[in-house]
Amino acid sequence: MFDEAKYVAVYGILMLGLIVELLIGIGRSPFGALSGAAILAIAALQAVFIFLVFMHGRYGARPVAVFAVISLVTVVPLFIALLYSVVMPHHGSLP
Amino acid sequence: MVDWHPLKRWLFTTNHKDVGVLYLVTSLYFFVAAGILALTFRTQLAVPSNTFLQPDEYNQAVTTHGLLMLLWVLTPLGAAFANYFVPIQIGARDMAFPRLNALSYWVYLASGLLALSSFFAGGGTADWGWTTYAPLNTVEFSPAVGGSMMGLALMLLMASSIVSTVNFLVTIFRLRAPGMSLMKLPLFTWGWIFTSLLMLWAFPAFVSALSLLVADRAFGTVFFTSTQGGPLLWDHMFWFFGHPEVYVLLLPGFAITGDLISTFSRRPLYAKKLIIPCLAIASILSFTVWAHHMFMTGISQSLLEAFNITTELISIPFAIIVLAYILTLRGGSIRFTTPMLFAVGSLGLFIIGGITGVFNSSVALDTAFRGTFWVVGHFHYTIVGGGLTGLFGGLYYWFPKITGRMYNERLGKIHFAFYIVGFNLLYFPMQLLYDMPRRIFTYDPGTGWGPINLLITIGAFTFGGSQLIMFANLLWSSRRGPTADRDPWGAYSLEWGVPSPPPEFNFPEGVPVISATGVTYRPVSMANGGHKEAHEAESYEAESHEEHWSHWPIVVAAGAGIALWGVLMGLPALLFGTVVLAAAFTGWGRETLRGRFAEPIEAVGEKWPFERLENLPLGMWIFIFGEIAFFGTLFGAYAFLRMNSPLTDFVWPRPGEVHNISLGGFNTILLLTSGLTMVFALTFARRGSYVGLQGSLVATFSLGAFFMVNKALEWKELFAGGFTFGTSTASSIYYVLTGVHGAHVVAGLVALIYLMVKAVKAHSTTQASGAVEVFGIYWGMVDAVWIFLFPLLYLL
Repeated sequence: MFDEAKYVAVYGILMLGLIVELLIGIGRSPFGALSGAAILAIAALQAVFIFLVFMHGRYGARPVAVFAVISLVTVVPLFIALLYSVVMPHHGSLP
Repeated sequence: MVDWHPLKRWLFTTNHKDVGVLYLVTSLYFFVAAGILALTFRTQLAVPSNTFLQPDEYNQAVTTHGLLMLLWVLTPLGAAFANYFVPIQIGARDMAFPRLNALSYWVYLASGLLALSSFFAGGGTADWGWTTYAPLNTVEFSPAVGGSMMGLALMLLMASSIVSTVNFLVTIFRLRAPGMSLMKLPLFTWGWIFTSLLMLWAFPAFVSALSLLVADRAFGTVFFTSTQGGPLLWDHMFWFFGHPEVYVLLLPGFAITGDLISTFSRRPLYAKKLIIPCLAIASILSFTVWAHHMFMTGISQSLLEAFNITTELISIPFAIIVLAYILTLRGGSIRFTTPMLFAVGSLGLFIIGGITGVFNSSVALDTAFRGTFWVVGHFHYTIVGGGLTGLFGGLYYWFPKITGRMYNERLGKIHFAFYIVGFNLLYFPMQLLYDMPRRIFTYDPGTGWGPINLLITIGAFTFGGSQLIMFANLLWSSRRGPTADRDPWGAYSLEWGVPSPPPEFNFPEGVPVISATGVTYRPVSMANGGHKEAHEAESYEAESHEEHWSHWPIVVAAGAGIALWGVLMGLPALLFGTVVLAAAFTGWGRETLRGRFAEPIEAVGEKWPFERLENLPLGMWIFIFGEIAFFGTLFGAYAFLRMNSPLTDFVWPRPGEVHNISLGGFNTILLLTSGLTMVFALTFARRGSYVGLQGSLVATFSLGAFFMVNKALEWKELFAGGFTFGTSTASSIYYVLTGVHGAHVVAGLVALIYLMVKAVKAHSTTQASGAVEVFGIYWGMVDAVWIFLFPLLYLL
């Protein structure tokens, strides 16, 4: 039963995350401007938990984790540039 | 090689060498088609005020030439050699997933035929340039249905490439022969590893961009017609794919050039241990340079400077590799065979392309050169010079191995002479046309561009005509050429140790074992150190390729091609294609269940760093990493639209204003619970509990189906409330994100049906546990994506 207990515990954590997300999402006032960031941080933690469940320590975590980090890092520059190109002042049309 | 009826062999083969030949022939066919298009628009530009082509015909010819050459010629030509030689170079008998390999090829062909058929779709094909810039790519400026068809063809091609990428990475990391450490791999295989990684992370980004484009064109979403999205969003998404794509085109030919220089200088490659990290650094940096294509778009000055620096940085690893190639030549005993001439020619042309590229990395100089023929000259020197020329060197180099016959050396050298003269006559004068816009179909005599353009067109015909010499030489030699030895070049990699052409499972003498003293061949049981069971060793010896043919890859590709054609051309074709596709997938699954198709037995060899992962789970993980790039880019688009909305006076709907938070939350509970039942399924499978396994799978299926029903009802309700595809960017991104996620859920439900059948037919639940585990990884990804979608769409 150990595996089932472990997975139910993870499921419980995911559900708890969902409840906290909903609470923040519906009543934003305690977190103010940080509520969006808090919700996304919880989502990110939930995703990490799901990822860990399916790695479940059988593969030798390192190569898969390295691959996962590289995958995430690959799209990070795009996010930075996309956001930067919106919020920073434009240089205007060049000749 | 295999004594089959030729039609059966070429239509149903799954052997990596046959698939390689199919890729080779098809990519050369597209090369001819794209080349003819180039000659038509070069004829148009030969003299001022020419009327050989109408403006729209010119635009279509240029667009299709660019797309075909880049995506249906250069990448697949590299894939042809990779298919044929990577498994042999690593000491394997075939690819890790041979049937999937055949599927990649047939989907590639279907996508190419779909692209070419777009010419006849009424109104012509795409005419927006190969970069598909917004707003030219929108229905307002390119209303022809052929444009949408080209978009779908590109998506199909990307799917084929991503599947192929997964296959290659698993093959290279898991099927290496005993003693074949990663550092012993030839440079071409290394080049293909980095090419595959680039494709894995760049191509899904293009699929994301195309999803938005096709949604705009076919369903009326407003990504590229709105002020929140518009041209800048397309530019970012396209070039995030587009610049790594440059290295996808370059690296295979560039790596072949290194191997050829080493072979024909009779010296090991100088500083190979430095070249490989340089390839890695260049690959990583290639994801950080894309905005140098956007210096004129008006984005922040500090962003331009950052991309200016990264672009200059990327020239450093390539400069090191070029120096290593030159130092390999220095002091070598050089033989100027045709492949070597192409290798040295490629190196010289690439240096010119690289130097002109450094000019473009400067914001100031790029401002002057952007959009002129200078840029056209630069990227042809890089991609055609560095990429295609190296690949042609590879074609001559490996021709004796593929056909078992030598080509005519004299004709090869004549081809090279016309090739190099034609090339420089064609592209060097373009560097002098730094004041001529590249996107005009004609020009006034008073501009003074006429004589140079005439010279360029003469170069184009010389360059194009030179290829006829190659085709004639290779066609004639493949039937009448003198018989080739195993190793006509004195080369060192494993393919030269097997007969020409190689037998069906490559190594007739046994498993190659690589050591410091060279290569020896041992029977499989010995090569495995005695650990493999005796009967398995016998199977290895007795295995026949006859067991591995499959007719489903071609049927799947045909179904997909017809269905996509039908999306734009009419319901009957769409329905027919869908039925064919469904039947093909059913047949594919039944074939697997019956054990009709088995993967080739491979000897136990080098698997670092994935010793503890089986082939299928590793393949699924690699696929998931591609999915991260796909959804990551879509999330990036969401962030861009959202951040841009206050700057463009668009009010993004507040949480709860449009979407029902309770329903979204309930759907999240459904999906997360299905994740729990899925891991239970795996636990029960491993434990041998049939009832537990089937119960968990049924629960997972039911929860997933319930999720989809809720989603459909939610869509219906939103539509009824006037929140449609084209209402706003908020509605557009909502439907695309939930649509592509829903498509993943549906694909998962289909796979679950397969798993339930497999559990029934398997002799034991542990037999099914491998498939359950692989599906569980996929389902976890579907859960993880929704984990982000729910807050982004409902709570923020």
